[in-house]
Amino acid sequence: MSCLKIFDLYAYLENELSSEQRLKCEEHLKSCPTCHRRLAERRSFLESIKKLPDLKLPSDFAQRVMDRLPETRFRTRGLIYLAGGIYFLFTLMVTVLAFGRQGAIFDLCQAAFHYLFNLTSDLSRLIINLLQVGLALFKALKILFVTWSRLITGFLPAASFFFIVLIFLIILTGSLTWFLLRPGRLSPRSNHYENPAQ
Amino acid sequence: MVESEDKAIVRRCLKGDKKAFEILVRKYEQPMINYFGRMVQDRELSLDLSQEVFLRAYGALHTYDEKYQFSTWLFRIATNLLIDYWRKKKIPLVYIETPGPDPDQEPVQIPDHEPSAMEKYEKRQMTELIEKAIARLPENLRELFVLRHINDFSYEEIASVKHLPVGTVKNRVFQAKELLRSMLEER
Repeated sequence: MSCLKIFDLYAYLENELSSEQRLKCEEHLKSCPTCHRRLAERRSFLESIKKLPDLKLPSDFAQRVMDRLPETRFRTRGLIYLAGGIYFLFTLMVTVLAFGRQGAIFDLCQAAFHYLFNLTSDLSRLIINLLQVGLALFKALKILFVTWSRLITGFLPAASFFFIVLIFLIILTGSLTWFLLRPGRLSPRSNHYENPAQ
Repeated sequence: MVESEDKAIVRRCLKGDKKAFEILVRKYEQPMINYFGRMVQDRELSLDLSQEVFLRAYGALHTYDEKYQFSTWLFRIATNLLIDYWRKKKIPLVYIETPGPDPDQEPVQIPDHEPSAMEKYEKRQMTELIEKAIARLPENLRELFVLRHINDFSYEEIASVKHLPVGTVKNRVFQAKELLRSMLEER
């Protein structure tokens, strides 16, 4: 048998060989001093790698991570189940009302339907009221804006007014760009770790 | 701790138990720092990158698929973060010909095991020698070597983390080992 490949020597040392390959390997190693020496060298090398110490970690590392965790709430799945459940109950209720006859379940569904109907009409009324308030607010702001514009254009020539608006827009765009691309936004550096070795 | 326990902890986190995430941080903080420490050769930076991995993992916990091992998923985030970091910083890849890290820079700290002063000195010398040789490995080989022999991942796990065929991983780790060994023999 020819000498073992170095690749296989590592595989032997790392228990990556099948039992059959392993046996063949051991058989060869018994009779081949070259392969035996190579194996010993690789074993010693892997052992010295294994002995490398862990890098030192600040004792409060985990606590620092925990302090920086965002207040994320994983509600998505729960909301999906809730929506699915509500949809199922609603479908069941409509089916009972459509095909059912008089009975306890039918009465219950009817009561639930009445309740839902009232709730929906109340909510619709609320939404309409909110929309009306929003519209009124929008109109008030529009009047305010028009009044201010007239006042400003009364003092400044039109060209200067547009120039001021342009500068304002440039500042706004610059600020937004800085906010989005500021250094460390994607990979915030904590800069709080002390080196225990120092 | 077995892998199924990780999955149970992830489920607790997803139910809103934020504190449970600390168990995962404590379990994986050391492997994470060992990985980044060997990859970027900068203690502060490796701490920051490790922290960022845990923050990203927490933010993306709802996307974790229990088909995969949690450790594999976590290290996939780590390897992606490292690629992003290198891309962003445009750090030149360290090749074999380039000199290793600054010798004045502290490479690693060795815990005491009560050996004699001479033994301690020799051990420290050996550790530094190996660490410097690891730092001189090409990035693509070094990463797979670190995952295999520092983080003790199986070849299959590394293949899953790096989206590479198992055979490719085995070959590259083998190349890394032989290269590292030859570098050590040169000394």
